[in-house]
Amino acid sequence: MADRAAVAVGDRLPEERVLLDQGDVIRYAGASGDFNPLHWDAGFAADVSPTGGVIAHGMLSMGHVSRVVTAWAGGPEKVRELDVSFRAACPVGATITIGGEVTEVDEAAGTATLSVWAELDDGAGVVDRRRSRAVVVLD
Amino acid sequence: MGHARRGRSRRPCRGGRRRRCVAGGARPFRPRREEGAIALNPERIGHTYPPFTYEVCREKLREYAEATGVTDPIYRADPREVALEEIVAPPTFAACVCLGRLETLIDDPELGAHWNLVHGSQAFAFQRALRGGDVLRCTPRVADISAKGPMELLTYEVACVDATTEEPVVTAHSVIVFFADGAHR
Repeated sequence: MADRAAVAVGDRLPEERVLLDQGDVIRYAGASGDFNPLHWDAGFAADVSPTGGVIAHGMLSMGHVSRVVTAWAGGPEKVRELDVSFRAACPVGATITIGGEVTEVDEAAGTATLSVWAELDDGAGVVDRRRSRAVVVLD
Repeated sequence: MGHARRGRSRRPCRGGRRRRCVAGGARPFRPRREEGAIALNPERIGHTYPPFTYEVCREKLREYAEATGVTDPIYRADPREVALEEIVAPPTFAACVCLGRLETLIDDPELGAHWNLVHGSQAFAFQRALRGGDVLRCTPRVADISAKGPMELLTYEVACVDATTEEPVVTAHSVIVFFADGAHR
């Protein structure tokens, strides 16, 4: 739970590492309805992918970011806004590190703004921390 | 720009390496590899497509939660014990609602969109959280089109209101990046 009295700028969400394998990506395709073969067909991806291979949905990384933010905020109804920028492509089989940091607390509105990210091991931002944020309602 | 190439995305794929033209059932994927293609029609900025209706159902919530690692047991609860309306959707479930009809853009012969694309950014602004049983009326719109080097950026907006009360629920803004031939390599 994100308590208004306890939350301060600089607070960090617990970081979490998530492996996105081909099964995860296919499961996400089925759940979301996004069947672009860029995410599961190596022959197709060889022609059009930014990496030359299959890549995970940006929205799958955003989904994991949203999950971590939701847990921190205390429930999905606390999340007022999510705004993320996808920068690096996430190759299928890569591990992302999910995180977030409070950048602003609005006492009057009772909200906190967080910078959020999902990064590859080389630091490349699948969800770019400089341009991705969440706004949550504090308790 | 754009007008002369209108409709090209409907042409069949040409030779080259192994290339799938149809995947995912009825949805056609036809990556265009036209040289220097600047395809999108800027006159389409502001165009609104007919609304579609989306019903938030229990099984889709469960599938989405599992696919994104959400372990809250409410998404797997026995329907005899937890009413559908008690289930609050994960925030990004809004993607299932708002991004499930991207073919609306591809199928618009006036727009000139194609499947050689990636997702550039995504924003959701919630007036309230989605819940099981919600019936939403969702209106897609081309909010903006711009060029950035060899890429074209299209901002696709989907505004969702409660179909019963007309109250706004969530608005999605997706920036979709369309590549001209080889621009992303």
